Amino acid sequence: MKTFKYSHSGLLIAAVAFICSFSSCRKDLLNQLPTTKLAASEFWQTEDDATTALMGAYDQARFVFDREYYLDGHGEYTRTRGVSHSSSASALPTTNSYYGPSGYGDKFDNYFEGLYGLVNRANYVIENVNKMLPTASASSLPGLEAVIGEARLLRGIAYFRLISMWGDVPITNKVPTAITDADAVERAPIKVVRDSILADFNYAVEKLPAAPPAVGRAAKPAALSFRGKLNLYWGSWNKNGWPELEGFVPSASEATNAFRAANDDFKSVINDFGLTLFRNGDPGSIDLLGKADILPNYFYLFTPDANGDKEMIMTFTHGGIGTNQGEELVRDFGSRANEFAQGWMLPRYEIADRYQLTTTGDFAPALKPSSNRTLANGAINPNSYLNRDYRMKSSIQWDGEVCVGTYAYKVTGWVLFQYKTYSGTVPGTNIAYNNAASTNSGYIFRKFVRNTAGLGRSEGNYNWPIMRLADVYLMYAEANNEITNGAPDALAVDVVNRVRHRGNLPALAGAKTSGYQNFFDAIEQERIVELYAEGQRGFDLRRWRKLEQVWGGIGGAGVWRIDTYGANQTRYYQNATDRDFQRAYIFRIPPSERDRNPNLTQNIPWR
Amino acid sequence: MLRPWDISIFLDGAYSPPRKNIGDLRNKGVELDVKWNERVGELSYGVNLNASYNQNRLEKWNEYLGRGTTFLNMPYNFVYTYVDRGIAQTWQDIYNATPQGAKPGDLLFEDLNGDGRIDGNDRKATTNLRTRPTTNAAVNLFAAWKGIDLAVFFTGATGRKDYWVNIYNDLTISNQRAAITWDIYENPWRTDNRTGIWPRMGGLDDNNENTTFWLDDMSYVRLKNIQLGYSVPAFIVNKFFAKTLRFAFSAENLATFTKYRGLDPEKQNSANDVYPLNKSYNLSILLGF
Repeated sequence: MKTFKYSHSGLLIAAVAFICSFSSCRKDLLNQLPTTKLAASEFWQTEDDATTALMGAYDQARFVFDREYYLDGHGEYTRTRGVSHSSSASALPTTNSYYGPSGYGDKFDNYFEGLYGLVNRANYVIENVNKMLPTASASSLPGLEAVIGEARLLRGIAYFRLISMWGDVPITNKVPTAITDADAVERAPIKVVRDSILADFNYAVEKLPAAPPAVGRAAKPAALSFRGKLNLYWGSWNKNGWPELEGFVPSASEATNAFRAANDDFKSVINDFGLTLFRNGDPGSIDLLGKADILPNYFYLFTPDANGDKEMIMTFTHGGIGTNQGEELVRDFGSRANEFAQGWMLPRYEIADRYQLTTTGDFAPALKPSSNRTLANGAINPNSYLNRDYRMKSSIQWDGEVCVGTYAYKVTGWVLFQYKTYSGTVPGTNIAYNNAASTNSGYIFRKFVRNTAGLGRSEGNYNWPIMRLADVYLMYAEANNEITNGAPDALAVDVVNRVRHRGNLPALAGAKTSGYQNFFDAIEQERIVELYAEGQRGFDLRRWRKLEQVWGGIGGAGVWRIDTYGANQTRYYQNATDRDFQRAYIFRIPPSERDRNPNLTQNIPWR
Repeated sequence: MLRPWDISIFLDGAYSPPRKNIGDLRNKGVELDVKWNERVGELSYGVNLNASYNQNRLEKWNEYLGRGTTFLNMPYNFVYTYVDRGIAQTWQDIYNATPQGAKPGDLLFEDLNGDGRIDGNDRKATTNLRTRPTTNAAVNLFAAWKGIDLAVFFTGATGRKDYWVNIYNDLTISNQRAAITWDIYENPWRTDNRTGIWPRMGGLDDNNENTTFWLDDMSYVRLKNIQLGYSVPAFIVNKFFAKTLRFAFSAENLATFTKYRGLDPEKQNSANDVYPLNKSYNLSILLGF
């Protein structure tokens, strides 16, 4: 018996040994590299790999930031009637009613998620490229560091947007290793987050090249501009306070230091990189009222003509036909006459009076809303729009203005906008009336609406700017005004005048550049006009604590938005409570996440 | 149950989790099938009854389970509803309720957890199923006497509750591309129609919320089919060079007995699927040579 047993196991051992030596019995059988996909451990080899991965982060950044214009609805001059995107095209809310001047603070849960998506994608690049650095050759080192710099810039921009809306937010700067990694995160105080963003921006400033390696990628001016903008916002919060953010103690000295840092960064962007405004900041030419053969340069700044221009400090690129990566500016800003667009974005009546006269450099007599087409200064009298800031004709259309109609990639001829008349042709001509029935203000956009055929409404190839030089100019002036308390230096006045020159406006009168409030008002005026419908106004109103001023304060009658005929359209902040304003100043931490993570606190007005 | 993994909002902007086996759902029930056939002289008749009862219960869920229509020891997809106290008639009604931005004509919601505001925490869980009935039954009756035959078929179900909210009772109608019925004219509350059975038009969005106001018991009994036939005796037919002749009348969906206010309690509810159930009548003559 015993012998049999031995021989039996001996045979077994021999058999196992045989199998192991000649067939597929191997270590880590279940831990092999996949044969159909590239494993992460095999991927990160060269600078090209790092760049490819970086594009994944840019893709998410575009997903989050290339439809900023919708957010202009949070201000008082743009009506975001709705949006054209589905949730797969942008992280912004897809529900039309979330973009009014009030009641938006609890509608941005998906946006919050999308911003952290960008943080994660940037983390993935940063962590993996960092691992490549020790073994990288000297020649590829700067390139790899620049990739990390770009990823850190993108991550910083994501956090910057997060703190601008939610105040304190969690910092998640590691690639997760388990699905539960982020289940117990806590919100970090805004100052800690700001320091983390600054560290990212500092690295980017240090490592990025002076000029971008390709259109759509960021270079040093972008990093400096965003660092400046972060400091400008930090200064604003510290100066003006943020009472809705628990635990935030504004500090005057923090504010001054931040404004000073912002001032220096913007100054460097302006002076050190040879950047100029689009077409040298010349106003260009303008056509007669009612004609649009010749449009000012400011109009072309928002067409593909400006792609890759020096003014565009940071942009997100878009494909054209067949790429499925087109922008939808025409679809959002155009009317039915422009490739059957939908007119989701509309000017409000109140913007019109913001456009100054080229003759005096100051405001025109206020328009009189009326249905009388010949009334002096009447809102539908075309002559009321004579000699206006060139940016007016470039941005909006009023009664009697024309634009190029397009359909199915072809020009259909001129179409004339006349509020409340949306079909038929102009008597005695073959010019069609513009079917722009979605406006309720009496104006429609020209800005962002291409005047050429060849691209469908969802096939745009314009590179959306999230940072452009004119904004830097105005931010410099603002920061300079803060640190000099109303005695701005020559450059600050000059850059504002450069922006004004684009509208063919004369330089600011001396009274408007001296004294803190005067110069601030002049800068605010330029920000409203120059950055119109680019999504900045709501953020400006909040950091300047101006919502009550614009909408009439707690318990007030609210403020109507009207149309060119004088009819009331929509009233905002009627009988508004203190809570209504608080909820406009700070956003709600997504409650679904708070349900699963008790560590996550809620902002005061949303408790 | 294979379901997508629950994942934090801080990750799911960049990662999509795989599906995994997440919970255990137990289904328990009984089925019954009874038949009776008899012949008494010239008359033959019969009854078929079948019925089933099934109740499910979620036993296990091995990750975070949020507030919703899935919960432990509850049927899957149960009714989780706001509770309301009906349409506010006066401002006094509104002052008596938890502040919720309502005006007369709006629905007033109950603040179930008493925290002074209306939000998702104020919903009430019930063991009623929302998508499927627990009990289904059908009865088939038939009788034949000489050449005459009659068959009647009833179906019914109970144990399901659902909301009656669709585009026909949408109280915030669009100013374009909307189909407007007389109901929308006649039913909403107005100051000159205070007994209106619906909340006011253009009021709060919550007026079409999933609340007890719109919650209906989906139990029903339906006379699904009835058929009456007469076969003419052969000795008569044969005189006309034919072999057989039969007249039959049948009707579908003649009557439905239900408390549901919408179109068809048998269907899954869908806000946009509002095609009504058809009644149909058939008269047939069958002639064989």
